[in-house]
Amino acid sequence: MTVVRPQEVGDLGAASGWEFAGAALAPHRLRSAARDRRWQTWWVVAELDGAIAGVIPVYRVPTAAASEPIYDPRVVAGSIAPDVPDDAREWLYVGGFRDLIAGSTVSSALDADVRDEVRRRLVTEAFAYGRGEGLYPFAIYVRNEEIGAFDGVVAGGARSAQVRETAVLELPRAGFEDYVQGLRKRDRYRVRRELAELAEMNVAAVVEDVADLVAEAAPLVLSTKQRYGVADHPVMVALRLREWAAGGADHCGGFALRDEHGVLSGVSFAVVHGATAELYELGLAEDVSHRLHAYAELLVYAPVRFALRHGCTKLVLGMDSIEPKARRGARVELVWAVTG
Amino acid sequence: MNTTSVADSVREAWCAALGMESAAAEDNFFDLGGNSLSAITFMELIESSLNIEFPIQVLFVSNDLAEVTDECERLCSSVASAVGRA
Repeated sequence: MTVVRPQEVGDLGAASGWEFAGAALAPHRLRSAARDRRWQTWWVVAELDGAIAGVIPVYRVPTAAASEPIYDPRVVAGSIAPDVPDDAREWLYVGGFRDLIAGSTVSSALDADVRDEVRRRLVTEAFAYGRGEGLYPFAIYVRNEEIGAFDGVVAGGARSAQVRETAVLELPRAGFEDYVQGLRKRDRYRVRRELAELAEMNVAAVVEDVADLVAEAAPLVLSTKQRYGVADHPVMVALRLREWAAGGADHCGGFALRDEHGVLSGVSFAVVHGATAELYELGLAEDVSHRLHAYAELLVYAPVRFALRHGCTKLVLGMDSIEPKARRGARVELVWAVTG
Repeated sequence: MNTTSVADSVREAWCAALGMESAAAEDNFFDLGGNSLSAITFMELIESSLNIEFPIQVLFVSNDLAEVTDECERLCSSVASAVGRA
């Protein structure tokens, strides 16, 4: 197990050779994050038989405070972070923070039990590295599927707690009608009625090329964030969308709702890695007609159609707005933080 | 615009965005306390003073002021060439 700067590690190859809990942990995204000077990046690298078996990134920020509260472990995981230093320069983010996910990236060529062991060792080594450097290691926004990798550090004194929830939709391979048919009776009735109303209202998102959509979408995404009290800037939203689209995914698409004049009134995005699709960002104009239906179309139905078209069996819908996702079939998974 | 004035404009925008009085060629924007918002301020100052479109990611991947200055000079040259061809 070694801790190195990312530039010392050769090409990781295509995303299809790796398993990761979210698109932000795909090899291309790890590499672009490593080039960013807003933070300093190291990778803990596990090798097996001379080949890279797994990577977990660790990050330090050069500023005394987190850039936003959502990246501050004292805010995110206050109950288990009483001893987190006030100065963010003494922190070590284990597994990442961008797009609110932390985890490792492991070779998909390994057997499942070996992958689990690689993940455990990467986490243990990352925490040991942080402590050895006199830093305070922690991971925030760890997905439930990876929390087992933290068992060793928790047994060694680190603390874990649930901090958020995320919505995940399991999809039948057969198609959209099977998705509807698979819903609980009450949800199925509601979804069928909503789909009929959407058709009647002629509200349907069209898949558009992400690169063409970004400039138009950024102000919409921003205004939606601002309505929920999230500070951002259209330049930063556009930059994130472009980085996200260039992340080496199998497919990515933008879902556009336009009014009768062709003006964008709603937008969302999704990316596909293997059999998993992931929703990313959503923007909706304040004055869009049929607002609740447009929201459901962008939040669930358009991403479901896109995911099914690309053969996905899982659609990760993300951490916000859990209830409307659950009412359309998503199950809720826990998101964790581990500190110390 | 000559090379010296581009460098001066970049340095001026850099100092204004970071609230500093001076800057060295080897300074890194984020090590000096810069963040995404001050990066946007820098971008807007550069775009208005040099009349170029400045991709903000240049600031995010550059090691220091010298690299940012080099990129601004290149962007200014590209604009000048495009104007010359028009």
